[in-house]
Amino acid sequence: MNKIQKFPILCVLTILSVLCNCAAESVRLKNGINIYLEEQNTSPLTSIQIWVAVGSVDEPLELSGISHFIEHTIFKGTKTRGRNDIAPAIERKGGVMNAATSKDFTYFYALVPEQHCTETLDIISDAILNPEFPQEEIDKERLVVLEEISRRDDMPVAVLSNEFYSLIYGTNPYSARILGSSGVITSLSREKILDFHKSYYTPDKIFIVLTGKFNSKSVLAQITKYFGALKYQKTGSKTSNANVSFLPDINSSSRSKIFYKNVSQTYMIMGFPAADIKSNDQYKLDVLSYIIGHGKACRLNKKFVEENKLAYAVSASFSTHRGPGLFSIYTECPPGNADTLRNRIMLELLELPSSITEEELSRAKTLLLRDKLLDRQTPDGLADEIGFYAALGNPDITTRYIKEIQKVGIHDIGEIIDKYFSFPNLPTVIVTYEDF
Amino acid sequence: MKKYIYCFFAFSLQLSFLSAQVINYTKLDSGVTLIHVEEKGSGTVSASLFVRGGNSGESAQESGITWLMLKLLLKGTGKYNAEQIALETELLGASITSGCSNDYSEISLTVLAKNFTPAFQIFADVINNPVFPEKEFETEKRKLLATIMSKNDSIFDTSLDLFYETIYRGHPYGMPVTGYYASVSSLTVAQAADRYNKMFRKDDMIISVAGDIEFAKLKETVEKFFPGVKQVPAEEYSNAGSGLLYAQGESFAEKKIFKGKFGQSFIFSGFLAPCAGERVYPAIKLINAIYGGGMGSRLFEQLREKYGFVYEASSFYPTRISSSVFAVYAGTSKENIESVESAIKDTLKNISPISEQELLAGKEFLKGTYLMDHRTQYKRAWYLGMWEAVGLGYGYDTTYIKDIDNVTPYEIHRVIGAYFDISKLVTIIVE
Repeated sequence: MNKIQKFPILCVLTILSVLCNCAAESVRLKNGINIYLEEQNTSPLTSIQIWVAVGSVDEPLELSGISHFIEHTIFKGTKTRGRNDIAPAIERKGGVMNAATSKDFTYFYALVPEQHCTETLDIISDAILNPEFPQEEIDKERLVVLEEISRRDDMPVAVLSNEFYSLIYGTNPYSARILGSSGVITSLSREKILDFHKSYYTPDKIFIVLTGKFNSKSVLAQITKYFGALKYQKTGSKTSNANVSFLPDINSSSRSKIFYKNVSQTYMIMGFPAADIKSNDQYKLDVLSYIIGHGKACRLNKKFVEENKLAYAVSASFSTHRGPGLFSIYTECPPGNADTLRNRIMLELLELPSSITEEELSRAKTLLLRDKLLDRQTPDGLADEIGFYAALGNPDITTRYIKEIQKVGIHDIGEIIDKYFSFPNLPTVIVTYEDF
Repeated sequence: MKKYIYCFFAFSLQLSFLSAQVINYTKLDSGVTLIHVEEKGSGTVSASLFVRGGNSGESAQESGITWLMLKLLLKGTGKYNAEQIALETELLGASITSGCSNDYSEISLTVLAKNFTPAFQIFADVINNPVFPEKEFETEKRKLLATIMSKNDSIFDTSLDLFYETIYRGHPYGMPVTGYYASVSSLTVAQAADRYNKMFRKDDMIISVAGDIEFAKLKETVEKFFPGVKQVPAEEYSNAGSGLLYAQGESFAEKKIFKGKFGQSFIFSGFLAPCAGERVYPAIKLINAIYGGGMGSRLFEQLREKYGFVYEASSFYPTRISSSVFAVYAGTSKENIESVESAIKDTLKNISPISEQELLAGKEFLKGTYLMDHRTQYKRAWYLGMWEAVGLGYGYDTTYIKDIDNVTPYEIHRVIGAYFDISKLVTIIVE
């Protein structure tokens, strides 16, 4: 190969580790609420994020989708603010306010020009701590969420993802759909919503992150004023769903599912459950995902898209969760290639421990750290990372991540595959068209 | 780390921040325009090369050729094969991507500052010395056909393509940048090479850079790697304003209903609107922000907050060298599509008057979101080059916000009267 230069990979990784440095100030209020502050004076923006460690995995079956529904309705008014005084009020100041729900958490965020930091923090705090959930707004928002469910049901990739979680996790709560079911959403009552909010929006589950331009001292005083008033209350075993930590047994269930829809090509996802948020294996899994499925020179793209053309596209990722995470490989391909492609990917995983090269490892680690550096250059990118790991229960990862990635060696990749991938078990979901 | 999340609403620097930056601008001897903003200590550099001319210079038979040609640039040069380009780039912690819009083509580089020079060498090589290998052409064509097929599985993409095709009636703006399945199927590698030879002229190249690199070093590097780019006589091909449009006032009303394969229905509704160079451009941007720009917009309030008809509804007014569109879209259940269409018409019909309070709020929203859109290094470089490529000049990156601030209530009133005529509304519905 015609080398452009002898690449000093160790040197680059060292430089990246310095550039990626994250030094958020961490403060814990007396009632247990955790606050993370990192001033970045190069930005004229302030990112304000409030993470609540409650998501679809915490919901009983009869309330499936309630976390997401609360995310939708929480901005509809408080005792002192109507809905137009919340998100639209932030927009009138040149900012945005929004929210999102996942399996493990719900988070609320605002990104505003720094001069509006105080007012925005005031509004978002009030919305989250004192929601009124007006009945009229609940009834309207039901229709909106039902539309959202319909919208996602029209997306092959969303169907694939939902069915894949269901297949992999079986009876584990991670199999539940974040948006819930139409039946549950149609019948959710205001009382259930208020009760769920009261049970889960408690100090031990709340994580507040500010990044960008702001004054730490005054912001901390403001947060203490609002959130310090919350009574200490540990949700503990009453509301924490212990089932999330069960590693699904992928040997005992159906190994693959095919869904026939009116689509134009075949969408396929395969993978296995792996490390949870407490495990050091997650760093190795992130590196593995970059080796095989990230970038144009990754192994699967090179082999199956560029060389033998079995696939149109392929990528891999590791989704970190409070409980067992999910390592997945996603592909798009002609329908006739799906079986061959799946088998070839399985063999590739099997052979990877003995064939991986230093160059592949270096490429993956460099790209992974480069992406981390780019994420951390924006206030919201940095806040996303800090809040994510804090809400999942391992906040130290943000400061440790770079070093842990640097430590990953070739033998670690081999070990991680042997540990979590049990040939020939590679649960797979396919969405394809009728006459396939 | 990857997060699966579901957002409340799918959305997507301060004036003094933008105007305070020092922008270096020069025309190099080779003809290349170089724009630069230094960001010390960031550790990364983003560079975008723009060439005027996107898919708007294509015929229907060649639809998709620009996109395909741009993908093929990364698949082989006289010095490196496709695999080498991919691997060597990524070993340097760099990414090179390419694509086009209606009006311009773009190749972008993001790289660690320490590795800027070797990465830029590859970047320059793919731009200046592509060899268009036949084998790689077939691979890229196959991938592009798959992309076109996969768009058919998205109700948004399907509806958007149908809307543009309907409203632009045979003009290249009405064709998808990725082309049609039939046109791409028949493209040849010779056509890709020909497209490249016509488009990539040194006097049409704009390189915009933001990042951790000094201007002197950047200039030296660009001069070294872009010494003499191929020049095509102007009479043979003109990227600027290629195949342009009918004048304002030639809009027409039309409604088309298409049978879809989706559970939801989708509507796009709008009319032709002035291009980026016209004086009313900032006023229409502002009207767009007030009408359908966010959670506090009139459209959102009417369709989602008042009736709960939609999860997704917005309006847009894209920046175009030739005629743009002012368009509204929404996804809803099949039983509500008539109500949504009616609500869109009503809100457009009653768009005037816009109060001073709304105008002020709209200005703040637009300025704030523009600031936010500049928060990545890539976008800061991109905006400088994009404004230059569409003919408004790199300085418009700061002038734009001033222009927004200067829009008066009278101008809003006048623009609505002149352009927001719902008797010329073009609507497509995918049922």
